[in-house]
Amino acid sequence: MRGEPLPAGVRQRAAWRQACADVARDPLQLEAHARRVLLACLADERVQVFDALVDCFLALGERGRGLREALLAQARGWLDDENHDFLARHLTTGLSPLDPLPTHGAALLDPGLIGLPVMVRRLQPLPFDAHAVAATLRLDQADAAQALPLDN
Amino acid sequence: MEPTDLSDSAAVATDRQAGYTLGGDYFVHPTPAGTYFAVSRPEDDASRRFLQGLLAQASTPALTVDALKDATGRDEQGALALLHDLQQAGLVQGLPQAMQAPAEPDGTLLPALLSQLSDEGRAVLGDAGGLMMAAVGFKHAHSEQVAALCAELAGLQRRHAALRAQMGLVSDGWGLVSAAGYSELSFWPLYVGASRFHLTVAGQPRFNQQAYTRLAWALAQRHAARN
Repeated sequence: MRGEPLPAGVRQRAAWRQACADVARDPLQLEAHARRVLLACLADERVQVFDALVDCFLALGERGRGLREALLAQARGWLDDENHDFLARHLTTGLSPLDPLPTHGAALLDPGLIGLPVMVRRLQPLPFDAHAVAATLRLDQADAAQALPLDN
Repeated sequence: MEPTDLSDSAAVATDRQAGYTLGGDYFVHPTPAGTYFAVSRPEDDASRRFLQGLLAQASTPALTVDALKDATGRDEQGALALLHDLQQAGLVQGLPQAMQAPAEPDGTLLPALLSQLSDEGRAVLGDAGGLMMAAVGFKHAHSEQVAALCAELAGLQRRHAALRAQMGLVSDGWGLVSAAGYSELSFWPLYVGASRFHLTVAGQPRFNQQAYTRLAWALAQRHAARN
């Protein structure tokens, strides 16, 4: 199909939407994160720049510090001081969904919490005595032992 | 957001394995994900009943064991186990102070909330009969037609719910999509109490917003006032 080229704004919007869908589908698509940040800068959309960076910081956690640092530096001119400093403080750790954001925009991976995520605690389980368990197990019980829940 | 499977049996199973205790003084409120879980399908189970019960209240309830037992109809550990499961799934959150249900008139509240649910700031809310209740970003005539279309799609979805379940499809919305697979318009049922509403969103939906919870909360209050 041939025709008139799309206006630049339309192309950018389509590219932005595709990058958003890519991140929503697979939050570890690094190239899509970078594309979102750069497209938002290109469109001079400051809120979207911050949202795209928040998603990158949320998706990667402690991993990918180099990418986060590069994208934050790239986007410096589109971030106000508060948002920049917030992200800069989380360069090493990344963001957790539980971290309160300075501004709630429309980051795709932000769960939109306004409160605390933990209200109920599991009571401390009895200490797990591996030696005592091993001493009572026969070899033919190993499969059953592996199926035991260890998190309580 | 994809639906989370939180059945009664899952909570009871967890209850058998461990004990639970409240971690502090909170007011319990659904997260946007919890709201989506509660209102996106008409299914009736303990988790959805609890979340819908939160939305039916005029203010976020204080989290106490007695209140939990009343709300869930379970004993203390059963009630705490259910809340723990919802918490672990990210469907509830604890607020440090009570929050009141949205009280603004529909004419100003609904468009403000709707605009936050679309990356284009365009959305329509309709009732079960296909009548437009509020819209933002659409021409008036279009919003009325879109509300009617959405109600018809919801009927289609209900009639073919069994097929969706058989095929293991987890999506709850319908869409007008481009050849690249990106939705221009998507249509979402909202089951609030015994009432049904329909939400049409232009562009990419943004349901991970507090505005989504506030919309469902406002609709639940409207439903509670009627009954």
